Amino acid sequence: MKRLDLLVALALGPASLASAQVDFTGAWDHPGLFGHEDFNDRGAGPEIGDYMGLPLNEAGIRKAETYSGSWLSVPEHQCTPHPAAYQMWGPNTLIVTTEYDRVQRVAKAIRLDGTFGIDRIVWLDGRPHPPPEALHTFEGFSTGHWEGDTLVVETTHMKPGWLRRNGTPTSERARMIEYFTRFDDYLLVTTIVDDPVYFSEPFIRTTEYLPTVRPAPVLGDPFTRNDGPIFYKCFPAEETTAEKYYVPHHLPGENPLLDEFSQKYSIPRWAMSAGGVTMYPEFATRLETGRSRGVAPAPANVPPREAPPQGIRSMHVKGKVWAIFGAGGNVTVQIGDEGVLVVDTGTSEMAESVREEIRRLAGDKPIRYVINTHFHADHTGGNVVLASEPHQQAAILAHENVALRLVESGSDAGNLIMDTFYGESKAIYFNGEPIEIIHVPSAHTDGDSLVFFRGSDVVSAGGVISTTSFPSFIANHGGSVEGLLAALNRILDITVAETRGQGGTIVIPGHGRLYDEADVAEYRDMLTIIRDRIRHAIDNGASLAEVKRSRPALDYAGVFGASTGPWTTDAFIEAIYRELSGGR
Amino acid sequence: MRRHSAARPHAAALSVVLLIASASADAQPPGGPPGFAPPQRSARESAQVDLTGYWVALVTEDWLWRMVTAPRGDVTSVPLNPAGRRVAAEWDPERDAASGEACRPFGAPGLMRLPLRLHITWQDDNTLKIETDAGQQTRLFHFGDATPPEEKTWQGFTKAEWTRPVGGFDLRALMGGGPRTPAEDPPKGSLKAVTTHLRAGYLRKNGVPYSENATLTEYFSRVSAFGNDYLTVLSIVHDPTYLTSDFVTSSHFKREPDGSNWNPSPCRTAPPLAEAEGGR
Repeated sequence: MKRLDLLVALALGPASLASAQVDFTGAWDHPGLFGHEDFNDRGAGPEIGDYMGLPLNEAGIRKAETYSGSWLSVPEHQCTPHPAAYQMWGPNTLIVTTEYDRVQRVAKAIRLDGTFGIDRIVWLDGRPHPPPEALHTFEGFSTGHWEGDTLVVETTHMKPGWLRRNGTPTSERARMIEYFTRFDDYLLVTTIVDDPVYFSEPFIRTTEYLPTVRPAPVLGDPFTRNDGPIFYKCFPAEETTAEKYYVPHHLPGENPLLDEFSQKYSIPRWAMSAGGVTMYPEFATRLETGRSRGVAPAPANVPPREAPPQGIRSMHVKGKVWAIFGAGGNVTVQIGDEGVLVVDTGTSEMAESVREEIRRLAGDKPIRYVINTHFHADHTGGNVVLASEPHQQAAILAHENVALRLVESGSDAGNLIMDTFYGESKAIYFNGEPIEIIHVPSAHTDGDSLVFFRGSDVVSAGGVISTTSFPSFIANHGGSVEGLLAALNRILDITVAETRGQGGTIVIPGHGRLYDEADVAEYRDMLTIIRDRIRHAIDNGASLAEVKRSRPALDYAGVFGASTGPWTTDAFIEAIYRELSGGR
Repeated sequence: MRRHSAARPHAAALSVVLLIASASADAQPPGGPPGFAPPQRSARESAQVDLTGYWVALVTEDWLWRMVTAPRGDVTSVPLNPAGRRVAAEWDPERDAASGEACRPFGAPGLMRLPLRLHITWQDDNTLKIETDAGQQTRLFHFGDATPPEEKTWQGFTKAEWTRPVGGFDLRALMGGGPRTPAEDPPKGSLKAVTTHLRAGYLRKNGVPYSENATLTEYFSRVSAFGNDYLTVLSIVHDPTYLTSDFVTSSHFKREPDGSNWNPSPCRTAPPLAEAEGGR
């Protein structure tokens, strides 16, 4: 009878394995260590100009062609890891570990660690992807499920990254699906990335691995094997003598490295900018005949895949700080034993809902302070409601220009007594942490403040950052592009990344999703690059119409552009042009 | 009572063993022992993955070695031994064309890396046919007990089998169950194909060689994402004559709705865009 039990076990065992799916745990290398394909990607890196076989649209081509390799010398970018969309292509050993739920006895997550990347966690426990306002990371947020014996991984919330190590871009709107499949000894990873901002169609790549034949590398250290764990954190250093806040980039049409690539490989320049058609067999004939077909057009703007949820919603940011979204402008809330401090109050229409949400978060703790980052109605409209709790009048703090502009505009908030300051900053100590209110002159308006929660390590950026539009500066309200750039650089002076260039200090923008230092740097880079392009055109005598025709914001419009509303792409370009040309 | 209940799992075990025995009977060739074995299913009926249709290669990797013809002597990332390098250095496409061997780059080990389209159909219930537009080649994948021919050809002789990926176990198939319907359980297996009897040819258009001793092992599978259907092919070339280790690549194709882009053309190698020396 025992033999029968054994037979049952033998019969059911493999079936049980099937339900437990395939175990990818272990260390994997590309065949031949560097692999037998994509040599340029796994070795020194592809050359600037090698955009062949990538489905880039004209926005993607523009972003790639104006990329400078010196980007990596910028302090905020020095520690950037390989992003998830690239990681499997790099010269890495892939280490796969499984994390088990010790109670349920099931795999709850798989961790993917590429030597030159950053470890990724694939959640298998059915948790949802975060809301759109959540922080994006270089590794993104991944969930997995099994289709037969293939692990299918979906990744969202990725920061802007690259497909190749030569500036070929992916945007924050990119989404990735990966298939992990075992074929005998081989692990095949099929990666498909869809990026409506920079791609004309999804990009696919297949990467093969074998179990490593060399000692497994030590997790966290790219260069040492079996020497024990090494503490590894990357911090930026002063690598060049470039001016502080310098953003390296090439002006459109002025990247000399493109011609070098063209000459070295005898690839015509038109072919290097052809984008997605270079993937298809017909392109071989086009190369011989010299027949070109234009690159796919760039989208004027790409709406988020998922519309932000309607109504008020909140998210814990860090320490004692929460963010409330859906109130017009974002509302920052600090909660502690002494009560509640609110930065910006949303629109008047949403004020009661904001107050309800604060009560939900803080109970009956009173609102002691309201700070206004600037005077616009979507940030001050709730002042009357939130600063006038029945038993407690909250103090309203702001730069004095906020009070002046509120009175000028006839806003109800202008009738409230405000505690203003006119210097560079004001500091209070509340709920056990110092809070700095830092005036950034002539940025979004002439009354902007950043609010820095030093203990919680959070910056509330107000009008200086909107992640849903091009950076906004209103000349009629005292704003300027140069002031806005200075304000963004001021934020970067405050923020400190936790590791690999991300995390650490969190920034709550006036509108849109949470940022960290890497995001603010990318946003600052964008404004600097567009400013430089327009300034260069003005220096060469270009009219406003000519500047618009050159589309200086082409490679960013997919994420930040708008063709309707108060701050269109055209309005943004016009505002920069008028400021830099002295009002022409 | 305890003895009685303890016997139940053994009865269950017996049932399972009998079921597995019946499944193994399914594997008996026609004319095998009579009994309760269900009729043997054809390769088409037992397909673990539907590969049929029109597919276009998406050359998103190794573009400089696949879409264009690399210069003579450029053997980047191919694990060639000295003999293989010597042959690669002597590549002469004009000589190939003159000697009627223009299809050397279109042999099975190099074919799936070329920029081309595939048309995959069932030639019969146990033979899967892959045709290409560029080079107008035809590969036949034989399931079951086909006999290889004496002659060595560009496409060789391919023996194919359906596989579940490692760790998988198709209990239903083993039990002799009927074909799966996509609605109840889309098959997620793959096709494993081993090709031998190859005529010597090129792994790449620029004369990187494989010999007639080469064996090609391939795994075909399908994935879907963002509204597209893709075919992936993992290829392992084993060639003790010219390679120091197996040459492993993977390629991918996108499904096309029909054959409107099918563009047959004879075997032809475009001249290299760049010369080896002083160029790349």
